[in-house]
Amino acid sequence: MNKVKRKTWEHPWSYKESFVIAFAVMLLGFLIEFISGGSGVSAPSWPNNLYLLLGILNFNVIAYVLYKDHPIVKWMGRVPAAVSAISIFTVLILMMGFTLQEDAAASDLVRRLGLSHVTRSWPYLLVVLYFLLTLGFVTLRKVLPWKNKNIGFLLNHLGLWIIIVGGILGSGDLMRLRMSLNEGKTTDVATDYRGQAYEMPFAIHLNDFMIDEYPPKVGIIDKNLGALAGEEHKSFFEAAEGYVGEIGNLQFEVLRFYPESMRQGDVFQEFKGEGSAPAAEIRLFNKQNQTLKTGWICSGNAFQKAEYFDFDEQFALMMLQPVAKEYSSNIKLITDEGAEEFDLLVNVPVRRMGYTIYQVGYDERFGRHSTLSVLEIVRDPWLPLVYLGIFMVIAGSLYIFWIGRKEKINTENE
Amino acid sequence: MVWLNFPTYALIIFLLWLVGILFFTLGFWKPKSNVWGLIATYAGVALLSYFITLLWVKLERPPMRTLGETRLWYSALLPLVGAIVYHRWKYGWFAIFSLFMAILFLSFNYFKPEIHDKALMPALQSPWFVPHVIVYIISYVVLGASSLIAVYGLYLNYFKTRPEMRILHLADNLVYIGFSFLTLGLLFGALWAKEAWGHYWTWDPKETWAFLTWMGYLIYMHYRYHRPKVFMGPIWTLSLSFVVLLIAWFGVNYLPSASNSVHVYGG
Repeated sequence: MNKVKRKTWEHPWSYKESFVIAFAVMLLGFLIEFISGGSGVSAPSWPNNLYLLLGILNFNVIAYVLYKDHPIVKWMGRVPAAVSAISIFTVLILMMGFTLQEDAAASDLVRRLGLSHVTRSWPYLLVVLYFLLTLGFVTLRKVLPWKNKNIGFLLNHLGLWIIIVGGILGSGDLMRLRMSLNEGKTTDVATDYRGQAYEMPFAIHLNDFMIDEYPPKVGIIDKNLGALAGEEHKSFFEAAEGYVGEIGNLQFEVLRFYPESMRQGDVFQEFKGEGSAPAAEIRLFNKQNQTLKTGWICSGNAFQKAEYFDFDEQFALMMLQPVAKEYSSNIKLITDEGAEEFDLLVNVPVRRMGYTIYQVGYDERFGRHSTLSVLEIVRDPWLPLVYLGIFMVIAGSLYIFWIGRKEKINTENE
Repeated sequence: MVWLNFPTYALIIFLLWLVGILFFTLGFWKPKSNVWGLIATYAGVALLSYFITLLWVKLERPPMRTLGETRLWYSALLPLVGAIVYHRWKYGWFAIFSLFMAILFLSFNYFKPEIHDKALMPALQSPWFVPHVIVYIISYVVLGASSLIAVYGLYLNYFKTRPEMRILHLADNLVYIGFSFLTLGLLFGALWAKEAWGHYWTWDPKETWAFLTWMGYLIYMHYRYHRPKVFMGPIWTLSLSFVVLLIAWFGVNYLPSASNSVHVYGG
């Protein structure tokens, strides 16, 4: 290029200036966070988040419309500023990626700089603002005046802008609560992560908590090693009735398997009720010492002790705790208008009165005998906006995939 | 257990792909032999796909949960990408590279077999599970391929001192495809998380690192667009982005920040 070399801070600004500014924005954030003692910023809630959204939007649009040709506005809408914003955002999230978040044991310096709570910190807020402004200006530049070929650009850039704005400003109105239910009881109180209780506009009665388990695994223990026999991961088989197999010198056959049973004298009997645990009768043959024996094993639980099958001098069998396959709560939802009953399953939330109700947990110590069911109750009024952004970017990704890098490559200094 | 006859399948696939490498190498002198390279590649991919299908049926769930299982997909998709790139751009060296990589990934499973756990925790039993993992695997495969170009670029720069802008155009194509799948993976994950865990984005360490990967390639794309004649900047961005991708893929499990992740899996 046969141009006179531009001095730093002489317009048009390029990468050097952009990175200095981006870095300064982050440092300013750390400084404010440090001075304020590492207390972070709390996201504004309704209606202040709406005002902030309108503020950012108006600033973007008015600055662009009135001062489109101002060198700073021009710089903000070009690639060097964008790359600096992406990079500084990346640097901040990188620090977050290496630091355990919301860690009570974080050192004082880490906490005062906001690194233990990055997404609630001043540097995060300022960096995101810088990011949003560059994103906003470049979107306006490509959208005004409108050209059809910029549709992919609009979907990706405006979509991302909407996701970030909706997600961050919406977090001030986001409620994520836990409700613990006991079988046969009714409650209308849920608590947030700090333990603060909220009264819900509805009450929930837990009729029944149900759980479906996988057949438990049987482990072969080498008593000489005091550990599982064989290679790692190769000393398990499934306690499914009729299962025949071989591991090392051991041949085994699962003669009987009861998902729910209780010990009756020397054997286990099928028993569906309080305190039942899975049990299996196994025939084991050791090819090396020609021993053949049959024995019972039981995984045990809070009500029954576990049963091991002590086979010979070297080997013993044990049954592992069963793993949950599916669990659900049969609940009655009571509102001022009336009541309705339904099953609530993992992954299948139910939406009622602006709240989304999820099945999230139970008392794992009791497994299938748990009478406790934990629900999550979420209220996120900004979700539709975020979803709009997400679907725009999904469409934009498909556009990128389809069109690829077809457009003519930009000239060196656009 | 299907896993027990995996060695037989693996050995045949190794053999096919080694033959493929041989033909693609011959292709440098006799371009016609590349056809045989492609046939061997596709035969291996078909056999591995068949094995994955068997495994899927046997496990009664998609084999995408452990790292070992995802390596199977990676090994099947990598040569496929190599073949597709060959059809489009006629890069024999790229097909060879992708076959070597696939053999490498498959041998991890060959030498370190694992029982394929049938249990799938309730939150993973979702219609989002398969699309979420598949788009990520395709994305990682394609971006992995673009990192090979970055390595080649570094080699050209430091040993040949002769940059070839041509290879960056191939990298662009791969990054655009890989990036679009990466975006879909992130967003499908967000939609799924909303259904399963109550919120679409919780800065789970895996999410954090996937986001960082996304940002890395975003820098590459913008920088390439703005400075199409610069060679080493994009090459370095591509290399570093892939390092971040590797951390996102399996490094996260070892980070101190990952102690509460919902994405930590064995293998």
